[in-house]
Amino acid sequence: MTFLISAIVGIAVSVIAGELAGWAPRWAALIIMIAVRRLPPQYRERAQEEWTADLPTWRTGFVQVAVALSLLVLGVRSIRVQSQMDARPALPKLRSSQLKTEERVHLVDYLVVVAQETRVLVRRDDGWKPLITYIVAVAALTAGMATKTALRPNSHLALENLFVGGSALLFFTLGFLFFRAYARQLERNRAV
Amino acid sequence: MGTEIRLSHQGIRVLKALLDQHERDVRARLSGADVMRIVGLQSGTVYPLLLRFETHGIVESDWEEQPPEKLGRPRRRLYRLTAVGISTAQSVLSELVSASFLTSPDPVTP
Repeated sequence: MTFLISAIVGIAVSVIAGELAGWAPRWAALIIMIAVRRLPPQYRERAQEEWTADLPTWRTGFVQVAVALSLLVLGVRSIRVQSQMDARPALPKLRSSQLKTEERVHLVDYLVVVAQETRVLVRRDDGWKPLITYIVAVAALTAGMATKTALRPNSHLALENLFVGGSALLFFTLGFLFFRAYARQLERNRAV
Repeated sequence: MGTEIRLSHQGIRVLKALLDQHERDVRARLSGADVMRIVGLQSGTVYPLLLRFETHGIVESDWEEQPPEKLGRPRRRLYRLTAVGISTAQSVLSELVSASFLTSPDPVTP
């Protein structure tokens, strides 16, 4: 049984690692977009074009992410200090209370699309149901794992371990699919 | 565009890379990524430094002349030292060499 679980986890981890590597350049581009938004306005256009153009010169996706993160963490701060800006973000974060009614409708629509892509539910007109399903599923799994740990902390029964391993795998897979769908949706928005 | 600028260790390394490139080929220009590779510094350090040098008139930059369609990729921003930058870099590096010679624990004695 242990061998079987190890094999399943091994395959899942390699698949997820492969997917992450494939998605790394897109994450890097996304991080650069975030970094550029925090720059003083006069530098944004130039930085976006320059940094995005230089990214593909780094062969590995993970290196591209590291380069983008360095720009986000160090670069933005240095440029803002140079241009003597204050410490507040250049563009304030959007709060839900600032959204107009139409924008809220779009947000619900968007969440439904995300939930559909995670295959939690199929039909579009189910509204909030997919997201609630996802949250309930994750909460149930977490509660199951917590109960198992609380009741039988030293238990090594194969069935229980299988349950916990499976729960963890499902949890991470759903989370991964959720964020992948999120990234795809962002990409589509950019294309539009 | 003042030329008075405080130079950090990283800044001097970037200047040296640009000066070396200039001495190899007067027309050569480097992108930010090229500078990162040569100097071995992080992107978060190199790009702000280049921007600061440009503000102080030490380097100048331009987009690649060829259009992206012809290049088959986005055009890059390329940097090179200005005349002021060359003299600044040379004086800073010569000062550094003489200072390290004077403070060397084992100076060469005749």
